[in-house]
Amino acid sequence: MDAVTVARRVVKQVVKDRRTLALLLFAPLFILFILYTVITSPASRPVVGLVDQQQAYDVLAREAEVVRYDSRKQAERAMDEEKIDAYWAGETFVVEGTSRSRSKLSEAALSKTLAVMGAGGMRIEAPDIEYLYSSGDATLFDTLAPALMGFFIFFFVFIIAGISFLRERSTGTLERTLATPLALRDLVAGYFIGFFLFVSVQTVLIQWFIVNVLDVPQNGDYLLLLFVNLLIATVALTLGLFLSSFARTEFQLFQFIPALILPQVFFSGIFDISEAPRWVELLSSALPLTYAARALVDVMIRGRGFMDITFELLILSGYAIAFVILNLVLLRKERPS
Amino acid sequence: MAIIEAVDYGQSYGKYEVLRQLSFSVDPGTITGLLGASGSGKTTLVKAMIGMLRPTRGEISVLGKRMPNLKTAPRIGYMAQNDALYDELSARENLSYFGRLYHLRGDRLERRMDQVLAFVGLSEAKMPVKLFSGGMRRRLSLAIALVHEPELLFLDEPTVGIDPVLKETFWTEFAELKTKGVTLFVTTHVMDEAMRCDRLLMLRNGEIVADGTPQELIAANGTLDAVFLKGAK
Repeated sequence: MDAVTVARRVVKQVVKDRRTLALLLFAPLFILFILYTVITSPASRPVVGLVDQQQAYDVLAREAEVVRYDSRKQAERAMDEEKIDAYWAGETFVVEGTSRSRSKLSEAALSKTLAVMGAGGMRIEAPDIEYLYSSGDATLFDTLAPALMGFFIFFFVFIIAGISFLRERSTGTLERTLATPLALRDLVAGYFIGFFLFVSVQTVLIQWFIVNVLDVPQNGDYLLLLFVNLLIATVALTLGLFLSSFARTEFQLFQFIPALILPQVFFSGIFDISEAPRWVELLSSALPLTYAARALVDVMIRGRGFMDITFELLILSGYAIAFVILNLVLLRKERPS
Repeated sequence: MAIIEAVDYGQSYGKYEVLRQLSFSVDPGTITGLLGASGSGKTTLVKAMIGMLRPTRGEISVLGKRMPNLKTAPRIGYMAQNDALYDELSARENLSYFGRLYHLRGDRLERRMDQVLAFVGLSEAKMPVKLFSGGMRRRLSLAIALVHEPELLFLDEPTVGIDPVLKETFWTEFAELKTKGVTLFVTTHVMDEAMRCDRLLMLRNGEIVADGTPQELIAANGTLDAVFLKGAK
């Protein structure tokens, strides 16, 4: 039967392409395991600051980690330093609001506390709930938008840059270019500048669509947000160029997506990983999108400025520089002179 | 003085030894043909001579420099086995790109582009390269190798996949380049092309098994086919 002949050839081909085989068999398990670990990590208790409702301490402590503060100012500072998810001061219960899940946990802790105290005959006035960032009616998309924006910019730039450079290799134009007196640094810089023009347009378009069309709240400086996004695009561009060296076909380049790109989504702030195992935390701190998402949340939701996200920007710049250096090292192998 | 000189040159990829102990020299202003069956190491040898590979053994000198050496690049022309063209660009845009990488600018670039396009008969081809026929692609590939007026030209199987008429045109052009003092190093496995070379090197299993003028090799073996078949065994 002809079908058997075709099938035998397909089986032989896949078996001999070990990377494809490994991807086919193990990549889904890898992704599922990461998802499982992230989703089944116990929901951490919210951290709530208590300023003057000391009679509520014992009950609230059953629902949340409670930290006592002497003044509202102290609680505000703790919230600014991202140490607490909410604080209760007098007639207000202030929720930080950058994470939808932690905001809801904080609110739930308050309402349970009020219910238990009410049932026990303790008279207490329900405080007004205020959100420091965003608002209580912020949609799930609103809170995920910064991380999603960073991911989509990263993902599409990676694909475009990777495929373009791969084509240079597969069509032989890279080899021919390397046979000219062109310096390797000029090749990498030229590629970078050429693509950066298009990547900038794409980035502006994505940011404009999320902020202006989808109307996601944007509390920070629009230009600073654009700067962060362009830095993310830079990292993706250099990573795409770098990883294309390890692929012979576009199919092989796509294989990097479930292995290296997708896991970054799970760790970039879409899921709460504060209670996840240590290895998840370590892995997360090694991935560029983690810093990208942090910077985007800080600018977009918290409305913070350049100085507040210097660390994240430095890390992202470090990744871009490292990938450029690795590109040069690999190209030197292709043209040793 | 030889324009190319290989001394005890060897090339390995990991544990695979592709070329071993090659020693030969090429005189300026000649056409040298490198004969060999597919997989005999012809392309590897060309890549080492243009500086894309560092010899794992011995040495290769080109234009008086030990390779790899980037300083030789402006004086070398290279036509790869695959066409290596940007399909979305026109012939002139492809030429302009590579001409600029060889530091040609302004009037000189324009003049050279006009000259080489006329030389390969593509002056009127304005459409994107993706619409070119196989023969047109090979011709443009040759034009790119010539745009910066190299004194040494490496042509890796330049006539593969082209019709006999174009093949004849190519060899007429190669002869014309030779009269201008250009040295040509051509890989081939086509016997009638080998006859047009001043000197032939025959590669087999990574070693040179025959070296001489076509007439010398025919005298020793009867026909060039016999030399090739002997080399291919």
